Amino acid sequence: MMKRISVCAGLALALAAASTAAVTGAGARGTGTEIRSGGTLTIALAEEPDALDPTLARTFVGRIVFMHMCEKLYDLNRQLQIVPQLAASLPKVSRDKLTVTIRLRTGLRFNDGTPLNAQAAKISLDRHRELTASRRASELAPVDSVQAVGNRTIVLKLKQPFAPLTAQLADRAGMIMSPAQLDKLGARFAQEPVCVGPFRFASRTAGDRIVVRKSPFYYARNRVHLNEIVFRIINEPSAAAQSLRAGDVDVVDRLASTELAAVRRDKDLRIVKATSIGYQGITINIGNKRGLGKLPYQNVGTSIASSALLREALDAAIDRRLLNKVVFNGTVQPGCGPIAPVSPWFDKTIKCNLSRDMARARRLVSRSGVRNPTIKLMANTDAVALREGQFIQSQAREAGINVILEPTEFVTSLRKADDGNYETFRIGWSGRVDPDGNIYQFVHTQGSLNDAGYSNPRLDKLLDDARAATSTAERKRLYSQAVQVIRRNRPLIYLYHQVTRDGVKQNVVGLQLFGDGLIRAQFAGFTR
Amino acid sequence: MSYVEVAPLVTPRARRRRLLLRRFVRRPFAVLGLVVALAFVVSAILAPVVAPANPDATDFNALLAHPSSEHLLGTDELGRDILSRIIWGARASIQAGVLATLLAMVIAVPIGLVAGYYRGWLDPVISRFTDVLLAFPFLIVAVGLAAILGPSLLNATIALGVGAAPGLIRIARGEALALREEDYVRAAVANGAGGPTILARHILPNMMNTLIVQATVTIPAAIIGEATLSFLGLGVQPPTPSWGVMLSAAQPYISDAPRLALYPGLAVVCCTLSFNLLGDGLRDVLDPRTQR
Amino acid sequence: MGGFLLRKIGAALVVLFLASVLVFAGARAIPGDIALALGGEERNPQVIEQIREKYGLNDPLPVQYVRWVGLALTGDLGRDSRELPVGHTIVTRLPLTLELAGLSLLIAALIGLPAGVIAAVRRGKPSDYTATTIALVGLSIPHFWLGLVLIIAFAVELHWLPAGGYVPLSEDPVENLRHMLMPAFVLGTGFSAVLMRQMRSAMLDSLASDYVRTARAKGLSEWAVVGVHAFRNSLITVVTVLGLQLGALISGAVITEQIFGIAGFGRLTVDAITQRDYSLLQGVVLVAAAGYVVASLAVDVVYSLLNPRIRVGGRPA
Repeated sequence: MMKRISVCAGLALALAAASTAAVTGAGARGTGTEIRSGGTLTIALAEEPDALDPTLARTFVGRIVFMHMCEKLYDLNRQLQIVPQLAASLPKVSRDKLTVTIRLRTGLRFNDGTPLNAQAAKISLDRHRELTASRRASELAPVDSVQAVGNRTIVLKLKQPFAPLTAQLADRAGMIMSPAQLDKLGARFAQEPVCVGPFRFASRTAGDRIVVRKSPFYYARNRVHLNEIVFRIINEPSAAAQSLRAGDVDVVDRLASTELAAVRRDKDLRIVKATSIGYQGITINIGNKRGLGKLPYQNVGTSIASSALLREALDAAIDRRLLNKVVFNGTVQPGCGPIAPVSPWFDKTIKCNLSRDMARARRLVSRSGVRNPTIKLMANTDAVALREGQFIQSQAREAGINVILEPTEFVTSLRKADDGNYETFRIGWSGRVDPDGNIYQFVHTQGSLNDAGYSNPRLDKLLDDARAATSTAERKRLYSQAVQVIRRNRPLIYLYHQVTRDGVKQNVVGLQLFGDGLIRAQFAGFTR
Repeated sequence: MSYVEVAPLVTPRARRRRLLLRRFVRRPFAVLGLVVALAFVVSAILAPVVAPANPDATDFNALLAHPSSEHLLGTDELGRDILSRIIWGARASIQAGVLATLLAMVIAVPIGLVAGYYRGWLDPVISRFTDVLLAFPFLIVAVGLAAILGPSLLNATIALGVGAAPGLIRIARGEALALREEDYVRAAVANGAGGPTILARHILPNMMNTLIVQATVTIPAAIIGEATLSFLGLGVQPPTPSWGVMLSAAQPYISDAPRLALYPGLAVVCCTLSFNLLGDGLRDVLDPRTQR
Repeated sequence: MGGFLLRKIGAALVVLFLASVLVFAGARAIPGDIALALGGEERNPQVIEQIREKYGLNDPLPVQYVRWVGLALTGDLGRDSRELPVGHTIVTRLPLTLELAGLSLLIAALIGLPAGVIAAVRRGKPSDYTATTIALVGLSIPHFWLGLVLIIAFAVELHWLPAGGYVPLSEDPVENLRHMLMPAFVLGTGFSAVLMRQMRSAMLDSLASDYVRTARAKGLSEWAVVGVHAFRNSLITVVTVLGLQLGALISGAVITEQIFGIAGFGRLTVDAITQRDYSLLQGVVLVAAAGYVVASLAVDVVYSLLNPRIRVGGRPA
């Protein structure tokens, strides 16, 4: 069960959030097929969503549920462009970029029947910014004030120009909650969330299921075919796949690689996929001696921290292609850097040996002068992480590096990482569209997730310059240089990028999976 | 953890040894249990000699291979020889089984003796304490302990030993309670023998049969416990082979390679069953009540 | 009797109090806290600090403990990490585990009791050996492995039964039963072995007792002797002993729910531990401990009613 939960917590963090690239086979296959009205769609979620409160929510699976019952000011389309949802149009930004004006759609009603107006939007945005422990506060930090102008217009005053604002409003920070329900439940909104959406919250059984039913108040209710969607939490990947094959569920969020073959063989099922822009890798504790953020970082003195050659040897000893084949059945994308090949920021010219170079690895080990090098690797406790850990161990052994596996329950491993109480840590990042979001926090001296305790003035300058630079070409050049510095010094060793694969029954049409990896079944239905 | 009824025992010892042995030999299941249990213990000790291959040696070109002359039981998800891993896995199981039982005995017997013999204020205190421990479902305590101490074979063994202790405390207490009323104990008291002397000379020796029987049922329970904890990721850590770890790793392959889940499980069942058969036989032999 | 009852209730309260202290301390002893678990991938230090503040984790431990117990006494167990009331969460999840436990006990009784009676009546005969040995095999099979084997056989190979999950009884009773069959069988077999052995030894005791001898001497039929007198008296012993197996039942449920993906009480507890969901963990363990205490109190009372001597001697092991 340990392993189960860590799958859940680990994946929640590791896989969560955005991914890019177009999706193959996800389309509404509905053209030509008639969609039956009614029915219950059952979606198996790989983890349990947290609080169903847009202000407090943090999980990836929570966003899938919100997709169906809490609409946002903006949304993404298939090309991952931002499009209006509750807003009538894209925001108008003043010349000084400090005032953002948003017009709302007309005829919007919350799922309790009360109208959505500018005042309601202001209440929600203010709650996002001010509620204790709000996860949205940092996303909306540059917003100075929100005003409701008339019934349909809200005006956001910014402290400084903030281009990603619209993108934030296309996620949970842009969700508008019913003020009547907020009055009733306050901070306990999650008990019975009410928003604008094609479905409204019906019930939740903790750890088991969340049920939403078709809303009579939704503005586009004639496009909604399903009567009900049941989100079932099935942590065990094989159980989820078996439920899909047995017909107990219609959609499975993120199939395990060990289940893909069986799902593919089944002609009643299909697989839709999207490549993540995140990465998975090994973080190496270089200078995190006294804890995250306790500057200055100073070398922790382990052989892997002291010897760049040893880190290089470990990197060279791991055959990423074989890792993909053995551990993941060929379902991930091997890689060497923080930016995924699907990203427009990816630099093809940076060399990356996806196979291994054992001779070089052995040479590096002997050149490092470390006798019988031994490295402790902290990893998750689920089956996949253990398989992966043992694979790395076996590869490193051939190069003469002894890797000791330390499977650690997920929250404990976070604590240890933040305390600097580890040697190496197998962890990943879900990825952000902007490269800054995949690099800065982890390797900049001031980075908030710099568990490696890495401090390199040259890299700091590159990353700071890239933040300030205006032209994309200039930024791209700086990030390429930064990636090369990281690849040379290896505070992190990057291994691969994940590919999300969802299993769907053939009789389900109109279900969409965009690059963000979220299941969109608002307008889905069953074939006649 | 133990499912055994308590039997108050007063057996005059040495002269019956031969009789006991003869009784034991007449029970084919018990003898079979002894033989198989010994086989497991021996192969665990001699694993480096007996195992056909290195249990950690991976072969990425032979993943999930079917049984063959090279790999009698096939290979696992990382191309390791399953038979060798099962043989090495016996080490973790038997180590956990024996050590946890010893630990439980070391904790439980003195406490139970003191509670049962001296009674007074100590007895209710100890009884309440064991009540509290029994009130927590064992597996939940083990999960919590593993989260606090970190998962390892040692910690799993400690959790199993501590988990088995409350039940044994009750049994030891009950025994002491009954034995202190025996004539020879009263006689010793009348002769001025002190508490410790009586406990060591009269009560403990007369509990030995019960304790031996308890040990033979606690060992298999602890072996299952180790497999369960390791299955949950709370015990032995990979790549160290353990039956529970192997079963846990096999779970994702249950539709493609069910044998990965079958063989280690059979090993657990055979090993546990052999100890249980042995324990049952011993109880029949040592416990006069069933000789009625 | 009144004094005895009062004493037992007092002891039960002491047990509950100690249990509450233990679970509270135990929860805090796990490395990492709920703020870290809830902090999300970014682990924004400000957010983490706010979460700690919100859950009152910055107060001294005794203050936190008193606050929790104070609220618990008013029936408020706090809110879990999903922002749902803990009481509500427990109430919605408990029925699953109760159903699982109930069905398992039913299966255990259907197998274990007749087997125990037969083994005792036909003591030393082949049927006794067979039943005793089968019971030993039952005790030797780990729940989780039996679960895996059943899944391989009935779900993966034969497609007769679902591999896991749960359908509420109210939604579809037939499906509910189909989902529960394998888990209940897995949990039930272990207990049937326990029941069988308890029943056998209790029956042997009864059969050797004075009243059975008297009944036989009175010329009652063997059926009446065994079926009515001995069986009924043995059953009481077995039931009381079973009451003390609640902890083992919950432990069994934890792993059975794990294998079959049933979101019951056991899963809830384990999830609470890994999520550092303090209020949920404390609530769940307290409820489990209370259940145990009530069960053993009931056992004490029943037992003392049946056997007045026990009020002096203590409870059977």
